[in-house]
Amino acid sequence: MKADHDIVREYVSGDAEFAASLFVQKYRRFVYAIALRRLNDSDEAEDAAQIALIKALDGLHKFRSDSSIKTWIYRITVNVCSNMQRKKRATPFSFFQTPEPSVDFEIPDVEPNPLQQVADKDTFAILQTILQQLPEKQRETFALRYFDELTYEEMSEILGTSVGGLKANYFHAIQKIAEMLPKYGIVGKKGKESHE
Amino acid sequence: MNEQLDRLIQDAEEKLSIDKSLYLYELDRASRNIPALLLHRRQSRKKRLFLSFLAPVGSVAAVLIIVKALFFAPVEQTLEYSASKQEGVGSLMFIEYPLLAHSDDYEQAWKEISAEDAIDLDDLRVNEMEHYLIGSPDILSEYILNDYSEMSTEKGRP
Repeated sequence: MKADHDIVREYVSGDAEFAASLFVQKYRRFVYAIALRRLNDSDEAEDAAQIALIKALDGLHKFRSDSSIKTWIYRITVNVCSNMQRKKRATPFSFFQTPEPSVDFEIPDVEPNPLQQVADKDTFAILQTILQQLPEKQRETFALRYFDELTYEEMSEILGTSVGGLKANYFHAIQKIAEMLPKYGIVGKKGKESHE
Repeated sequence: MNEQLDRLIQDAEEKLSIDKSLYLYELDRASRNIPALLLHRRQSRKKRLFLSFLAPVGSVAAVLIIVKALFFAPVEQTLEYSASKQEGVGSLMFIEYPLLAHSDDYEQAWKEISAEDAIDLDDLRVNEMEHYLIGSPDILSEYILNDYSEMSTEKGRP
């Protein structure tokens, strides 16, 4: 995978289409994941990811390397998601409104049946459900650190929180997730150890 | 304090049982069709931009055509009339030189038309000539074969 500054250079003064495809390939998952965590709907997340990537590509020639592309694209995606949420709230109810698209990652009202939840294909949905139950700051901190493997410094720039505060948020998030996992049929290592 | 927190985090991470690779794989799979949609969207955007650019250009072109029809048509007719009257070749229209025909300096315009035509049209057949000049084919053939070079170089002034 090419480095960010190489992609930007290629985009500005080389093969722009090729650089754009590299850029999208590199960041589509990151952008989609942010949108999914914010919007909790796979279709809307796809739309938001597209818009964010287009915005990022349109502004790539203006990008200054004083911050990382990840930080920059994170802000773009968050803004796009906020705009989408605002528009959605502003849309008045209509009898002719089409039904909401099926939500893949719906938060269940009742305790899930552990036996139904252990299948591998459901693990993603379970994790998404668990993440949605965390406070926003903890959710973002956990996802950026655990899945995207960002440094605390990068996260501090993105989320505007001190490194110490992030660490505390991260620790609380892990503890809550570890508590919730067994309820959804995923037995943590701690649980396994205690059973053995 | 910070070191203590780091140690707590490390312990907690070790005990956390999440199939990270599966989660990332699913995210990757779900986001895989974004590039195709993105491309489509970019193309549509380019198309929209092109159309939005084309609309005012089309309007300006339409206005220019109307202005031309209203204000420049009489000038063209004057030139045609003077040319046909002087040479006696019926109604001739120099369709290749509309801009020169619109010029106020008729004499200069006529010179330029004639000089260029004399060079270019020497080797053309009559039916090809008709592409340039609209008029009676009989008069034209005579005009082109016998008089045209003379007219265009010496007498072709209105």
